[in-house]
Amino acid sequence: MAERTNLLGPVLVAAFCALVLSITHLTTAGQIADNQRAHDQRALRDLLGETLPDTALLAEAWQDDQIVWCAQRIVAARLQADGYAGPIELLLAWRSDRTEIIGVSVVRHLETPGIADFLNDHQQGSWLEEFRTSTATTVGRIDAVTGATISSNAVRQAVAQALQLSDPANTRCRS
Amino acid sequence: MSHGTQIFSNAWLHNNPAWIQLLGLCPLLAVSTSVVNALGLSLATALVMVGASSSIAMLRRWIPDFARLPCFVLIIATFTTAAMLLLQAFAFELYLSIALFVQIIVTNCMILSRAESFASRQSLGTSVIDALGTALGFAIALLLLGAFRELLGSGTLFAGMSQLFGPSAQAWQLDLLTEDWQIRLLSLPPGAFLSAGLLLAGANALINRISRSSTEQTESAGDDAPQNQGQT
Repeated sequence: MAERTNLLGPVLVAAFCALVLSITHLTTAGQIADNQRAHDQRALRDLLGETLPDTALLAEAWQDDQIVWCAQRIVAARLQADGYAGPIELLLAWRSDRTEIIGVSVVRHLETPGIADFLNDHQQGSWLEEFRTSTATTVGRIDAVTGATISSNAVRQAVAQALQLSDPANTRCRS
Repeated sequence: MSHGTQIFSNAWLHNNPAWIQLLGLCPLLAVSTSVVNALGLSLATALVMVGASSSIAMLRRWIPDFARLPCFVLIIATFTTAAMLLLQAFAFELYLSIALFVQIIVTNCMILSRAESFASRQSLGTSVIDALGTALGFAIALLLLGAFRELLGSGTLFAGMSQLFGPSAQAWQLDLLTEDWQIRLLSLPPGAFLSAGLLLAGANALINRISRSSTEQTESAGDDAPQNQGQT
């Protein structure tokens, strides 16, 4: 006769793990949400630079689904590119009249660290900087990054698509 | 040498996970581009290592033999998730750059091997000592590689430490090499393999020299010779 399988042990282990996870989650959840919001807003602020909306307005605008800022003939939208390891969340700002790009910034991504580090680099001369001042027609000429063509093509396509879909006449801004 | 210190030095030096056992090399190669990345991953790994080892040692009487591995992996995954949450809460910028490699601590065979071969057979206290030693050994290797690759690859040391220690750490950055002296290759993936190979060779040469000189001194081909046979 085989011994009766004792499941008490594994159940105990699972309960222990659940407890550890719940405690960590409860103690960190608020802080993580704050960090994420601050990070997103910092990205938008970096993107818009001088044409900075005030923070209260920004927080309100962030509630919107896609268009996060739309004033002074500048539109900023949240995009999602279909990257190699998951969605790449982008912020794109452009001038509503000429569809000239003001900037692209990557808010969140799951691409391979090291290989896709260029997505975190917003400094001068970086790949993301090449989007600045390009237009809906010239954005297709930006070269993909060697070794990370899926990630960079995804970003480029998402940007090009958003620009094509945005109709200057139809973009309604609050002010 | 007392039992505790013996276990500790065995864990971090004589059986170092990185350069003796060659375990956990994937994060070691991928994250060692800078000191701050290396430090972040070392801390996360140490947390998982100590958390998982102590829990397994504590619960070892309850873990039945047939469900050993699932239980170990569940516990390791739990602490990996906890480490991710803590990293997101306290070092969000750093989390963004090393997130993927924190996630795959789950599959780090270094932790699983300590769980299987040590923590599940030993008391809580010795398991914690062993886990701390292993984590230290891994951290030393990771930090050495990180410093080496950051210095020669991008010419700086301690850049971006503010991601971990707050804005005051921005002043810690040392710009040591001008662009002419930097070897860009070292900050790219092939550089990781090259520098890890150099580290491995250096550590083994050092260990061989030490063990040779100690056998010459004592003239007893010893029972206390370090066990430095590699396993993959």
